[in-house]
Amino acid sequence: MSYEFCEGIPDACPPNAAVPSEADIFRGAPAQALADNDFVSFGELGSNRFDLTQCKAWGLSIWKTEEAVSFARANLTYVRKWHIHRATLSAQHGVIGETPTVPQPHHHTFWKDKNQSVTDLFVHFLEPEAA
Amino acid sequence: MPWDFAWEEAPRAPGRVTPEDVLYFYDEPLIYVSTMGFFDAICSKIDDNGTSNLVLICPTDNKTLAALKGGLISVRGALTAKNYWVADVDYDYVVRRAWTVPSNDLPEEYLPKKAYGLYPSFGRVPDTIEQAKAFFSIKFSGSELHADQMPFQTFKDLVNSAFSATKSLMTPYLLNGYKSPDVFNMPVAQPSFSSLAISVMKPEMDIAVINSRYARNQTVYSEQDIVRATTNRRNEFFEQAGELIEEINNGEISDHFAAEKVDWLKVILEVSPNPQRSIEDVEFTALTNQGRAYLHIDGNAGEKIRHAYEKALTAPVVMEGVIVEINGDSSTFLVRNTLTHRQVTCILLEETFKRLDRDGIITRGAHLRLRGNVESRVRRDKLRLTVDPEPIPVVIV
Repeated sequence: MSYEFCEGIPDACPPNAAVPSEADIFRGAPAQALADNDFVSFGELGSNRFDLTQCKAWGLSIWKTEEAVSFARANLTYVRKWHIHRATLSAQHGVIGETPTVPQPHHHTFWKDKNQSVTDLFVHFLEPEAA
Repeated sequence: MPWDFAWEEAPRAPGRVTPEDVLYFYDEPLIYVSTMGFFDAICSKIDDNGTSNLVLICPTDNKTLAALKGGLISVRGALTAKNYWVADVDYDYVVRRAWTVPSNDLPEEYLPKKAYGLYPSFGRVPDTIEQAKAFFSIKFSGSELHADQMPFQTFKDLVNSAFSATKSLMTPYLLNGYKSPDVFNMPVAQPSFSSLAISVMKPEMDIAVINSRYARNQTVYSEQDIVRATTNRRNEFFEQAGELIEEINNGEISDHFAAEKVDWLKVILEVSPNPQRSIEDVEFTALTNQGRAYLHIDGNAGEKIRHAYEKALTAPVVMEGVIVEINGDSSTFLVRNTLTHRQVTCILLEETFKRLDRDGIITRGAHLRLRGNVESRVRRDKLRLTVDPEPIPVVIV
């Protein structure tokens, strides 16, 4: 399957190890209903928050399990304020890769095909835990 | 809306909080370490108003960071300080304004939940380094237990409960009934507040006195034998209390379970959450050869334990004890409960007493499993036996 990612994405990004996004995923956001701009990476925005030579800046963080969501909510005040949304993606939507760091060995990134919209695939899964 | 708070504004706010070591990333660094001049700080994103972030800044050090990354303490534990900064930080990590917030004033929701390690694989971990390194630790949490003070009476009651439970739970069976701390003693680390963590270290002892007073059959014990016996008792506590928590997680504590484990319920109840003392959570931790042991009793579980204990006493219960005195005239004997260390008067029918006496069951020093109805009394409980006592072998060391 071939994909088209947004302009400006670094060479060799997404990494070869990333696989077609045929998976259940969870995504957190402040809004109860997701919009297309919730799926725009900082790289695509040209945000100066990150070193945009890093491939991870051009993807979106996702959780692959409910346990990972619960764990993030336990440790992160900000995530407790979010709505959690769940979707079952298909292969054509993009690719998912493991993007681990030493303190976060199970971090996953979703690189969305720029011609695909996944917004409507997400259903509301959890209310925020905190105001 | 820009952030604004009533807290005292920091006169010299840190200039930048650039992420240097990202601990949790989700689209951006949410928890990270930043170097600020001469010290490091852990920064945790609390909110985002669309133009800047609200960030909790907690001074830290290499020892705390190593403990966090090694799974010795929780993220909450690493974010424990007397004073914090809450800062308005722009998306370039420049601090625009900052407020100095004493820990007592910091909203609870700004902090991580208790006992979660940095990695999921760490499981539940202690919130303080003292707990992490302890031979055995009890941590009480509640609304009255602040970082800088707590009611004197509460402190006294909790220390008494922790002392009494630790003595019951950790003393080797060989030393059952010992009185002198010169003979066997478990030192404690400096108690830590903002909750009350009592962390007990490995026992110290006078092995010569132990061998002269307590050794049986001319056995000579070494200090290692006594430490091993104490360790076995500690592990037994985690096993028994773990079974109790599992029973609670499965619904209710069954009558049968409560009757069989009534002494465990009694000892655990002594250090369980108690609304009258404003104790909402209790955690037990220990560093064992197999890793870290951890148990958590919340207010709901504490209430179930209390209810099960009180109900159990209305029917026959099981306990274990060693006969310390026999009174043939009244067909009674006195046992020292092996778990609670309290003496209990056991009452039998005269003919049953005579038969058991004749059979050599009722002898001083015999270790018995007893079943009967408890009559609670201030000085010494009575146990009216409903079945014959059962002699049991005991591994005392």
